[in-house]
Amino acid sequence: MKRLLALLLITTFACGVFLKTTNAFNQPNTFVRTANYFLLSGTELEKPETIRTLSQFNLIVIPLEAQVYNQDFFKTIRSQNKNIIILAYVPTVSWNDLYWTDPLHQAQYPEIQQDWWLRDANAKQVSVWPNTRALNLNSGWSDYLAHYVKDKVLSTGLWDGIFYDEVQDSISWVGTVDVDQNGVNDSALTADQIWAKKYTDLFSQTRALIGQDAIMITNGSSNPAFAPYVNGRMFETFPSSTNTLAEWKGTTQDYLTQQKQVGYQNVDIVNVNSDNTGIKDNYQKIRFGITTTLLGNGYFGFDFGTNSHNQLWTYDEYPIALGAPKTTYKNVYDPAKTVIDQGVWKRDFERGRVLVNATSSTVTVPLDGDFEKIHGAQDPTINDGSIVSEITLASKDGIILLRPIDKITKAPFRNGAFARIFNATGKTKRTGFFAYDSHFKGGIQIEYIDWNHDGRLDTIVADSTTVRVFDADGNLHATFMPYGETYKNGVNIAVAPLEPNGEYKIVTGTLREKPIVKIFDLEGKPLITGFYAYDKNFRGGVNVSVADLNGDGSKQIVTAAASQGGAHIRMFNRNGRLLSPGFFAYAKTFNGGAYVATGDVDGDKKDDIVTGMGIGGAPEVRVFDKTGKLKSSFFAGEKTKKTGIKIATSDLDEDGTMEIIALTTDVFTLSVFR
Amino acid sequence: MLPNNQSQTESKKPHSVLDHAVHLSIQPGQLILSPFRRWFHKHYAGQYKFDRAVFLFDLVLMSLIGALFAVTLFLILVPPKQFRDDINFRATVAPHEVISGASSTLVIDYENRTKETLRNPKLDLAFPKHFLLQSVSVNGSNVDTHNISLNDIPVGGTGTIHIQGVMFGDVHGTQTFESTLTFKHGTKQEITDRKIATYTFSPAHSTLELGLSLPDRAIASQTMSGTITYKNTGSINMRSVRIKPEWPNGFTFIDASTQIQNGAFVLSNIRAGSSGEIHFTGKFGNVTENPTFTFHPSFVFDKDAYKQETLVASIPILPAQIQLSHSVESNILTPGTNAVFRVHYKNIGNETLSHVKISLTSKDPFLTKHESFASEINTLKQGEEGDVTFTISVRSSVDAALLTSYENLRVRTNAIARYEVAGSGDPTQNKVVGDELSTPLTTQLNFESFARYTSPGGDQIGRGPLPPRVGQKTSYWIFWNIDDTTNAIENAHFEGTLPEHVTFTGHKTSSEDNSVIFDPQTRKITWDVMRVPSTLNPETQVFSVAFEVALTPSSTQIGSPATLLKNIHFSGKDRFTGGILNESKPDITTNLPNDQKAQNKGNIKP
Repeated sequence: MKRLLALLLITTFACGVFLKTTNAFNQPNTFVRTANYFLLSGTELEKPETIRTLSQFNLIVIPLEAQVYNQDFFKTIRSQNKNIIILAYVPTVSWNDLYWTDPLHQAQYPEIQQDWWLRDANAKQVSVWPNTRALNLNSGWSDYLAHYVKDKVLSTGLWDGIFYDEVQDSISWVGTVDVDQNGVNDSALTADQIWAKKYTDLFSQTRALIGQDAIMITNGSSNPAFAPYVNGRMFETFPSSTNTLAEWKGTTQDYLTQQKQVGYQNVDIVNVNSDNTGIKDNYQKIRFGITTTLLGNGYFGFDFGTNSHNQLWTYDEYPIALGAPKTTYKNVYDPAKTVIDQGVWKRDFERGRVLVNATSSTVTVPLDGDFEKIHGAQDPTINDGSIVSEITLASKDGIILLRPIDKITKAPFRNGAFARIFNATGKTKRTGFFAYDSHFKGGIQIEYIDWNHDGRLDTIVADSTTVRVFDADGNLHATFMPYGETYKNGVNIAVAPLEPNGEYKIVTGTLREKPIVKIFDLEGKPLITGFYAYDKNFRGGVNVSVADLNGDGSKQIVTAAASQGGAHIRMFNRNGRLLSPGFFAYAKTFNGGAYVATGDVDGDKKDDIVTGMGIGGAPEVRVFDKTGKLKSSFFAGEKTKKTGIKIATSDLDEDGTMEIIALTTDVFTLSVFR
Repeated sequence: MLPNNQSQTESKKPHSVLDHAVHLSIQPGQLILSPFRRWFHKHYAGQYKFDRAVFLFDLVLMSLIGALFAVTLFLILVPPKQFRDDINFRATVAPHEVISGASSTLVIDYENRTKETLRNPKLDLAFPKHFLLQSVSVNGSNVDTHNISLNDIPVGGTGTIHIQGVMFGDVHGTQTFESTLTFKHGTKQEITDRKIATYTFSPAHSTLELGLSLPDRAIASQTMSGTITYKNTGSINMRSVRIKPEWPNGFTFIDASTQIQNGAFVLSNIRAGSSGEIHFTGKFGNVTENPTFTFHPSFVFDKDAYKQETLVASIPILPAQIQLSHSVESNILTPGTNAVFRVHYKNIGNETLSHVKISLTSKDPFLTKHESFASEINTLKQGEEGDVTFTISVRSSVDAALLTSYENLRVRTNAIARYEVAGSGDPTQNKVVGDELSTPLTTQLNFESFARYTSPGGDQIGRGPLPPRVGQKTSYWIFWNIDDTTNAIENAHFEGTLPEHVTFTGHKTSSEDNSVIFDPQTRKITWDVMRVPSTLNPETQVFSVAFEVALTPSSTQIGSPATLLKNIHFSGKDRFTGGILNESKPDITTNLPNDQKAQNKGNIKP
């Protein structure tokens, strides 16, 4: 049996080393940050839906035995979220005889010495949690545990760090204990002093063993003595709107203070929960908790409560990309105030603002600018997507606001169109806007992109004949006519690096006439002679886009018949070799062509093909994979319109997933007379 | 002795045809031997020691050579009987009369009359080029391949293959099936052999039934309409059918309900059992002989076409009796106005006409009446003529759904005369249609001017409080667009004036061309466009501009909507007709009943 366990551990270690990503603790400085304290392993972590949901969090804490039961889990979830932090749940005191039947704990148990158990003077074992037995930190257990997490846990390479649970400043609260093991029950003072000291020793020793890169956070205490060794802590059952403001104030002060004291890159978890009621739709409670968390740098999570930490609950605020903090927390009415107390608080981020009303009354706060509420589905009375210049907040409520988007970047668009922004399933993601650059005529194609890699957005425009390349200062860098000066029916462009060197190239198509695709460098020099995307006799033109359909970094040119033909999508390599005969995005009988854009709109790390019906079709958007399998479809405008729908894709809110941008014209025709 | 003998011989020679016949009938041996005897006397007699023996030997030798040649020729021309000759392998078709486009069954029978079992027999079927195979069964069991493996055929064994399918071919033309039976036989050495059977069929009819409906009679110099009816009487869909018309002399084709491609009507996917019609219109010249219409239908498969039964019909023609012409008072028609048409008529026939009804008709939807009638003329004598005037309203706008073309439109009108021939006793009403008059139509114009706080998709495009509050800025977008125009407009000019408390934010957009300009001195916002294309086609992009204005209400505006834009006006020139276009719009206010967010929030609040 021991050989078997040893073999299992060796295998686990070997797999871990293989799977370990380099410097997994590489969390970008962006918010909102979310955490899930998910204390289930085994079959639950094998479910695709569980993995998919957990991968949406920035940090998860899962049971230690997952490294035995769920080795594939780590690889799978990191493939879906390369920046996820995975911490191993390690109790510091309790031994659970009932549940720890896994090979890891079974192998550990025989190594526990009899004098490591926490007892009273009568040698009676003590428990700090129902149905468990406590171990004495003032014994060899502490040293053993520190080495154990280094040698048996983090050495697997599966984890980014450990989560030490049950951390307390004291032990006397359990009753009589003989911590110093002198056969006499200790006084509370003595017991607590030893207990806190031994915790400090445990953290100190663990840090010394695991090094600086591994994360170590605790659950239960903000003792400043622990701070030099840890990355932070979890605040379990953090006070929220169902608590008093005094409770909120105390814990928030603790949260915001201790994160400045820790000796390593801060990782705090703010756990707000349903107080073991299971009520998961108290959205005010969630908002108050998450916005309070955003006053600091912590990771927010909401679950059942202390009796159960294994929920997959997610909320509209979770995927919001606020970007990096621009300020620390500030009191709205007294910006000089630096200590949290009851009041209205805010914090600005690159792409938004967070407001917390920690008062006992409703307040209306001027915003000194326009902010967009998130387009939520769970509590649309609050998160209704409206753009506001002032906000009214109920007592013990908070809100995340975003700066409105007013520009399409990194995707070609038709100047003057109204841009509506959707996710892959057609849900409105951000409030629409007019995509218009008054430097250029309406109707022509524009793309803002940093083609010269100077960190600023440059401009490339294509009109009926000519492509012009400008730098960020508006200087004309190059101009060329892809199809000659006699061609006047419009040029389509797609700008992207086609090779690993990152050099941008301009792929062109004709809006009408021969469906010839050409590729130019930024000087306007043709790189290939051009190729027919469709039959040489076809005269409907060709729309173009550049994609990484395989998710492997190689680029493909995706085309659509622009008009006068079926909505035929085809794929070519950069030399014009047909990679796939393609598919029809709409009914074969529809002959208005299609608009096409590409990008990873559903977060599967592979570019999708997004189409809009051409002229004469309804404003129907469809999303396909590279094989032509339909992933989703929706109408981006009135179904009765026959103007088709132009499409672009870009990560406008910088949340890591492309949005579908529908460039509509229906906004122009909503007369009261109709 | 000799002269006597000669004399005897000569005396026996026949001297007439009758004598020859008698001589031949009574002395056939001498006649046959005569050439040999002459040949002997000429080439052998006296020239050899044993001349008779040599001659006989040569004769035998020549006979042998001739016999060998004959045998060789026989062997060449008559091949020896082969093993496969004893295999009975033949094809027949049912029903006996093949119909092009209909299902038929080809039956192939085989019988092994050899003395060996035919091993590993396989049947390969070669069909005509566009034979539509429906099923193949071997001895009652369905198979689904052209290359059919059969069980070994024992001595005396028989079998039947049924091949069901649809045959396409020229009616009265030929199509050929070929079936090849390959097999192995031989006891000491395995020999592969094959037997081929062919069957040629000739479709007698077609499943494409055509009919032609023509008027009882046509009138010279008049348009005439006819209808071709077609029906697929078969059990399968017809993918493509061409019907090539052969118009009669003097007939000029004008239009048809089905487009003509490469000189033929092309019909696609005619479902089994379905029927349809092709309506055609043309005009006869001054024709006197009864014209004949001929239509040549074909089944079309890519580059192949199979001729089906030709449709032929004739129509009697009569000379015209009334001459019509008409004109319009103005050179162009303008939507929303009255148009005055004058029709001139004259009896150019030899009889007096009665019950003459003159009317004016238009097949376009622009006139409020499809057909207008003048008072009936009781009698119109030979050479008599006159004028009738029609005043008809031109619709102010027409829905695009009623049109098939959307740009540079003209109103097409025809004068019509219906009459009887007086005193003829023939109550038949005759109809004469005058030449078409095509009058340019000035564009209709749908100039829209409105404000929005919310886009149709629910996106908030305005900013600030709703209802607007005193001292606080609320912004709206104002839209101007041109729609439903049938002609391009030149020098289009839009303008509006910002009232007090309203400012131009500078935010603007334009679907085409340049955007608006704001003049702070005059507080006018203008948009000038050199050319606005026609926009009636549902597939055209909207031609529009939008700009943002911001209202900061004063306390004097409390309780009522505030004006956002006033003095709104459009002007331009119709490029097609030269007509001048002018249109004004009401002021735009904060009262926006159709706006998702701003409705009922137009009155200014403190």
